[in-house]
Amino acid sequence: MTEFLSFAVNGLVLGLIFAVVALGFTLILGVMQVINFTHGILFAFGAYFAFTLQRFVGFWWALIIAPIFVGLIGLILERLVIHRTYGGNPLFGLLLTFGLATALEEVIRMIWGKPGYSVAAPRFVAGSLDLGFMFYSKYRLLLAALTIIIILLVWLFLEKTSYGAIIKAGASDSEMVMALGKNLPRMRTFVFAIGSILAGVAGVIAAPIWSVRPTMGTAILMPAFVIVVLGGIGSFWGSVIAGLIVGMSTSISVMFWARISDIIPYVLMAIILLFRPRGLMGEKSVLEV
Amino acid sequence: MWLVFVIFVFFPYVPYIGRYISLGTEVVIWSLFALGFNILLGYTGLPSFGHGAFFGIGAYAAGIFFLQVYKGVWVPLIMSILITGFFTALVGLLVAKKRGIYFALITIAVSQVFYFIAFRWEELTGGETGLSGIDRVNISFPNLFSIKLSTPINYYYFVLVIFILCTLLIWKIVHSPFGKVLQAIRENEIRAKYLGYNTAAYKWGAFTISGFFAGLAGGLYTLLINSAFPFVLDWTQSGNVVMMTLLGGGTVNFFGPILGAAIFIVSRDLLSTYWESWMLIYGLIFVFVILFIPSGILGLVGGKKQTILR
Amino acid sequence: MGKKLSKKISRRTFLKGAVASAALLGPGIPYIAKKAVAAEPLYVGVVSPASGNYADHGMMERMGMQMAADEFKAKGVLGRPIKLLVEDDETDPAVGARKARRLIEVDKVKFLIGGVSSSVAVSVGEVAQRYGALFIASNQNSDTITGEKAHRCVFRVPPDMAMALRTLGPYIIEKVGKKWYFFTHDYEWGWSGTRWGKKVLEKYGGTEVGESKVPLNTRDFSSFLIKARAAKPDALVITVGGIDRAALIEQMFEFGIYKEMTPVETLYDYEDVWAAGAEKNFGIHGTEWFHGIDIPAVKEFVTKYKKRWPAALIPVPTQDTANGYIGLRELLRAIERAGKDDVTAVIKALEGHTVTDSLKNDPIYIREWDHQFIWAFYVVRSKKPSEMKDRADFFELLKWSPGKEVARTKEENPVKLEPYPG
Repeated sequence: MTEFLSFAVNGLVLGLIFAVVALGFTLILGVMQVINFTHGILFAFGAYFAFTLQRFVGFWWALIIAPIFVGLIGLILERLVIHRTYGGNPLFGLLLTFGLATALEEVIRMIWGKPGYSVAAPRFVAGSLDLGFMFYSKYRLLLAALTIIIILLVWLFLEKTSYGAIIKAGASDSEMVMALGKNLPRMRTFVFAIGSILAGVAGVIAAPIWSVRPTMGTAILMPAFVIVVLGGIGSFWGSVIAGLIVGMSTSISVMFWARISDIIPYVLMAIILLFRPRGLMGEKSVLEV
Repeated sequence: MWLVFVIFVFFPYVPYIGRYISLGTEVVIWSLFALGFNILLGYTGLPSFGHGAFFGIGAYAAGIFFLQVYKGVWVPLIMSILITGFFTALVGLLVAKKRGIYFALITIAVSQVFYFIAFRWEELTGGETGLSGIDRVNISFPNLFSIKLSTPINYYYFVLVIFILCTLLIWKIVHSPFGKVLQAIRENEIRAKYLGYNTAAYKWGAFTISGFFAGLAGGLYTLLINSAFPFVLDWTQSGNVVMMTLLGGGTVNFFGPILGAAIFIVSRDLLSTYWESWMLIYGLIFVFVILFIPSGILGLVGGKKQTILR
Repeated sequence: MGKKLSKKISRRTFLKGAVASAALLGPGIPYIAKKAVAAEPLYVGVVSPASGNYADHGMMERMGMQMAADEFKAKGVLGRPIKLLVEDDETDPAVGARKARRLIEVDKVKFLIGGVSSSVAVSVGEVAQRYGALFIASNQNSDTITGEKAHRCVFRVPPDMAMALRTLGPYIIEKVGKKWYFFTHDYEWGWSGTRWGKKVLEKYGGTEVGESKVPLNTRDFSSFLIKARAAKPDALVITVGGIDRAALIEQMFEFGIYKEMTPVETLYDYEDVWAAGAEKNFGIHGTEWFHGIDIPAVKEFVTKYKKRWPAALIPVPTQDTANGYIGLRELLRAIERAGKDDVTAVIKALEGHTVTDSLKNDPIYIREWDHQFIWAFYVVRSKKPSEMKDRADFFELLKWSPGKEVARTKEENPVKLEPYPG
């Protein structure tokens, strides 16, 4: 049974990484109604920047700087291209970001080359922790701590700042926010940048355990997607809780029948969409009609 | 319409590209898929992002039936239509009441479930390696003649005949009262509801019908490549068919999907041959089309404003 | 109203027709150009990944093929210049098959080489067999390619998993331990690795303490590692590849697993070691080839590689490079021996042929009844960073077995090839 505890912790940690990515995704989806397919590639950019920066400034500085670069990329994308799809058919936003993601994956290959890379975790967390009743890797515990801090920061921002409150409102009802006369375009750019930064941070943190490859983004894009729908579009707690659920279910199903561990999130998603379309914690939104 | 058919009939005789018959067959198959899909997207205004899954179900149905049950041509194809139709009908029940983003989201989710099933249910689908060894046998009309389908050009014409029949069928469907209601739903579903139409039932109908064609296309594709792979069920394939439909102008013109399929398949093939970093151009083309010609090429040419679902 | 509408339609139809014809004719033009320029070259189609999960492997094997093509630059083959037509298979069997068909149908190539993913090789092999073209599978290790899905028109260069495990297995039993835990990548190739591993275990009296089937596209191995650790094996016998392996290596390091048991990669690709880096290099592994094999032919090959590709991202050739090189070189030599570019003649020229100047310790025997290239397999040890003489020196050679000692026998592989084409 010691295994079970380790599995559970593992699922939680995995879920935390998913949650960070999903948070960014859900904000973008909620505020701009854009299904952001570039989220995966932004995650990859985070990892790649971390790889390059690490050689010069080490892991911790890379952790801070890389996401900022990713945020910049997100900003540029939004300002140049993505904002043109707002208000239209969600299909266009989806296709547009899909096209961008495809092109950007090739850009990564062109800049960094086709071979894979490795990012080293900080030395003091190398190795594992054997507590008898639980066996776990130290780095992942650090990872958990980092993600919790990030999630907390986002929460503080949304709950305690006035700008955050507007965004939170906008995530479930952007029309209303527009009616209140706020500068919507700037807010949207800001949200996209924040979302990108979150994806980038997750990429940096995940890099030491998942390895750095051009196709690495695809592994979190679909889960992010599922989590957001499961948790409710635009909902902070929805993303966090659903993230944990998906992480746990993936991890625990490996114990029993590894083959279906991938399918479970989708089945959960389909069930939720049928019986509670707005997700576990979503609010009735403009999207539903 | 007849002009289009004529072009396809004479295509193999055009020098040089005429040699690459299987590409032409592929264009016809995807045109069929896209045309059927457009009933849902262009005419009813429902953005399904999971139709690749139905194409895939049709592909596997044909493959599995060929390998396990009966080594023919008609039977596997019929099975691909029926089985896909069955699943589409089921899924249709789930999605009929939704639209917009939620519709898109569910279709993505469902298609991913099917994708993983195809990928992981090794015993049935062959997993990552897929199914292979699916030959095209001769078809014979008793007492009349027998046609060897294994040669590329014969198969091309076979597929073309099916395509022409289906195109006529789809034309009839969208120009019928049923089709008119679909367009009404596209324009304003609430209003259609107030007029007394059971919009959910119509949407279900459109969904299922598009599924039949997707399945048929899938079955034909399996016979073309003599195998079935899970990659066709991937959501990127679903994205491809949406792109084809939009690119050609499916939202404003009946023939848009055909043009879109032709351009998409041909250029994709060419691009990856001539440039190693073709994905960059491919992605940028997507971006370009969405930004600048959202009503597709035929929309541009015909000068009609984009009618698609706002 | 009706009249105006019909006029509009006909204009639209016309434009539609024009655009459609342009779309269909468009591709014709580059083909005309291509055909005009090339006089009488001998085309070889290369179907290799440039995108997707195996893009790095594809890059390395193409570099090897190019080196082989360079050697024939002066004289050509049968007096004709060699032209490689390279297509990206995107690590996708459907795309690989399509490209193969295009090369055969349009460019009229009769010889194909490449593929890194086993499933791509299977689908390309099928196309080749169907159309009567010759395909050299240069870098796949799944048993089926010279087993259930073997074809008369397909030859396979690298060793299969039987050869791998029969070389590696006994060494592990002797030097590492008898309790093995298997990580099996849940598809064809993974199963074959574990299957032969279990046979070796049985033969030498070892015990299987557990097995985990790892689905494709697994990113997170922590659950698998936790489970394996609980079983307390001596060796963790891993048949997992691609990007999944990269994540596994990272996580084995992360959990410090390598301190408690010996990781054994049944088929370690240099591209993956390179990506992981010196710190994350541990265990004892099987490998088809690596640049540190101490024979003159290999040293010469490495020098040639460095000269040809001074700016290469990986500074030494990998097993994919060697296989790509040998595959193409032997194909071209076979064409020379056959005296004509007829597929059946070339197949016969390959079957039963022995290559004395191989890049391994033993000569290559191209077996006629399953079309497998029979040559050595190696066991290596991961060097610690302090032991490395340069940044590419990851392995120390421990032992090798000649191909003919470990290859499958006819009883083990009752394959029947089709009759010769044409």
